[in-house]
Amino acid sequence: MMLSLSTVSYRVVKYMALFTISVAAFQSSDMPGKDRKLPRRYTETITSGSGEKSSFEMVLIPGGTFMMGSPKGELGRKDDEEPQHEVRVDPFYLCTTETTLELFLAYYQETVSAEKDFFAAEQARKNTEQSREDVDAITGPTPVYGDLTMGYEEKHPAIGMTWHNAVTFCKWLSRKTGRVPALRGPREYRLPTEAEWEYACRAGSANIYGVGSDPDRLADFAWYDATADSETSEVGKKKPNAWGLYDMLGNVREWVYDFYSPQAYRQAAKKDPTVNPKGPKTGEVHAARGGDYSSSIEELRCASRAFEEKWWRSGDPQIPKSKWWLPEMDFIGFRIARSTNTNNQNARKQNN
Amino acid sequence: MKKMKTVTRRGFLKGSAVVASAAVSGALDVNRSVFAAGSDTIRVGMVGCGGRNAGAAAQALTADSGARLVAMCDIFMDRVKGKRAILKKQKPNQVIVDDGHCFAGFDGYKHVIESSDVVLIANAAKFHPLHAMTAIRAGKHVFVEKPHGIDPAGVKLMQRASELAKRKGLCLVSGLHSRYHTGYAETVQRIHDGAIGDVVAIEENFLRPPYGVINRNPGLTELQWQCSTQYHFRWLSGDDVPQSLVHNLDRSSWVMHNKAPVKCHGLGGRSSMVEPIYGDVFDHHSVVYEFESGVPIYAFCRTTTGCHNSTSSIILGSKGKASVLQCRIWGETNWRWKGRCDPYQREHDVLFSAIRSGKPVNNGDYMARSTMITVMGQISCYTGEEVTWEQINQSDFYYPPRPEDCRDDMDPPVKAGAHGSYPVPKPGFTDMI
Repeated sequence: MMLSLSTVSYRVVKYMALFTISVAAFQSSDMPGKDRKLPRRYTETITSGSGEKSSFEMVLIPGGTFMMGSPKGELGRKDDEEPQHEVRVDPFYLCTTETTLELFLAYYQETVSAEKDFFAAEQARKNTEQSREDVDAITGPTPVYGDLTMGYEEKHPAIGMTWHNAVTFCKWLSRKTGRVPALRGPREYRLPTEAEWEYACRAGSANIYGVGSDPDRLADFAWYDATADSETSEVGKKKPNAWGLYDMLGNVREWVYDFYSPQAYRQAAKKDPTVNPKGPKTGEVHAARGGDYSSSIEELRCASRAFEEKWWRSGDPQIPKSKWWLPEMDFIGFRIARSTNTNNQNARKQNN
Repeated sequence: MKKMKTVTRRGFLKGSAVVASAAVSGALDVNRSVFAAGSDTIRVGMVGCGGRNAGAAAQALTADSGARLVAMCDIFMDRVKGKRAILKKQKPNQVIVDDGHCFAGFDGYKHVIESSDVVLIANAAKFHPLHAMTAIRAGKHVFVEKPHGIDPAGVKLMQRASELAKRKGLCLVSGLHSRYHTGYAETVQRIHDGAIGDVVAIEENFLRPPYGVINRNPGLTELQWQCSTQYHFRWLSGDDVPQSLVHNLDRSSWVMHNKAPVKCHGLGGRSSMVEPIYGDVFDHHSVVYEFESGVPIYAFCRTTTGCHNSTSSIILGSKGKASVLQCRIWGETNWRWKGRCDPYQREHDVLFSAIRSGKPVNNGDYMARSTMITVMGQISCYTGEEVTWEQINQSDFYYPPRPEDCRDDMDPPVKAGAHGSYPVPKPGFTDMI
């Protein structure tokens, strides 16, 4: 095509929307609540050390199959989104919102290492020397340099944490709520995989943004460069997608479980279909999906991939860089997930 | 609702394009360099091998591809070797420190200075003025972290070092990074241009958790222990008004056209950080400063666990207010900066391009002034008395021993009492200046 990006009209975008809707025919999904043992959604409430309550809502994402990556010709498509390939995902729970500062502060205050708590932590470490897992669970972040909230209110998304810190939060939350690993039934809290994230973002659709393919409608669903004032917004203030998930696009980027590799889909596509992929076994940096408050519409596509870039560490003038914090980076957060671990076998049979 | 935002991603990308083009023109200048007559290499030495100086070394080596790290020192050899390994991994071709150029102990700085063209100083602040002066006397360029002294005698030595650097045409760059932040600079410029009317008052906050607490290794002597946790000892760090509020008060002074307040009164003490492991520093301070015009600065710092944390520099004006850290103005004018800046990298970009071009940069005036403002506030907190700018500048007080008298086998100047805790100043009783 001879069209430059700036001259591509919405007509073209809409044409592509029609094209992608036809892809939806390949879609199959288990409906929520099919397994009666699993509630469609539930609310979790935690009480912080200082007695304040904080709640969040988890919604059951039905298992199913979808096309991961972008089709050839999608406007703004990048090489790391190809090839588009079929992926099967088991049912799982996903939080309806991004993790809030309120919840993250409760974690921080209970686990921050180095102080008063330095003595408590030392004692606990001695008490649990045999169990590596226990030690990890109590070893929280080092004190943040400056202000963890960066001046935002508590209902805004938690920000500026490393992937490692987000994962440690999930371990803390699992202990706090008693959602410990089990053989059957729902399991502990964790980050969603990159495939789960994209599947949930598409919410059963095969259009560009998961909430349609018309960029003019995005303003109802997302905080991005056209709707946000260069800052994050309170979570859950725009419309949710078809599965009840808020702010999947925009506001803050969301850490996912997988290491990032531009080749990941080429590897995954060798299997047909790919079942519950978890990305490369090793890597340097992790993927972070969904764009943020300053993103352009191209970065808000469900298929758009991003990862931790070098400059995300530029607010940290030290070496080695903090294992826990990305100072000043207020565009990176995360959302929690939880496996159901119930009908995996059925799902696989169905798939084969 | 919310607020702070010093960063936008797109703004950063724009900013990095500017940096990249600057780097290209800098590279062209290298051929015309006046540096080291015929030599492309600039030898860099590190005095202090903590996390901050390792960061500074990486920034220096990034700023100039002809820079080579050649010598390192610290009180502890394991820190030297540890940081050498990390830096070598990051900049394999630029880190060429052999074992013979790794030095430990109080006198290591002399050897590093001898071996270097540029000396990076980021160690216990007690030594910043002496080490900067020694380097400048030896004809070396200097990057030195804040604060630039912890007592009146130290700050005055830093002033003399700055004057000497000017006479010798040497660079002296300060780690007070606010001055290198393009967004802060534009905010201050707008305040100077009248965007918030006349400045009425300033509020400064640096409220955060304690400096890292490390377990006491039983193999260390008392002196080594204190040096290993230097932020918790006054004779090494000067406590939290110089250590933390120096950034805030540097911004205040900048907004006030680089003036110093005429007087201050401070309150401070220890609330929760009282165990021996916290040494002999206070964990909270409030200082009220007053400029000749009557404009006050209300300045607060705290290092405690489980309390409200906040970092801000709020300028209140007759026609609005400004937040320097958010690069934002509200009132008759509403404005916010939408860019991104890595001031830590810029410090070194500016330093090395100044060295290459032969046009020295010298931050000495504000670095000494801003540090002395903090020393004045700290001493007021300790003594409980009002302290004037005139008094602090007439004082020759220093925390003993003098930095040049420190020996690896000496007894530390402070010792724990019967219960293991260290004596602390008592406002109303302690006399210092």
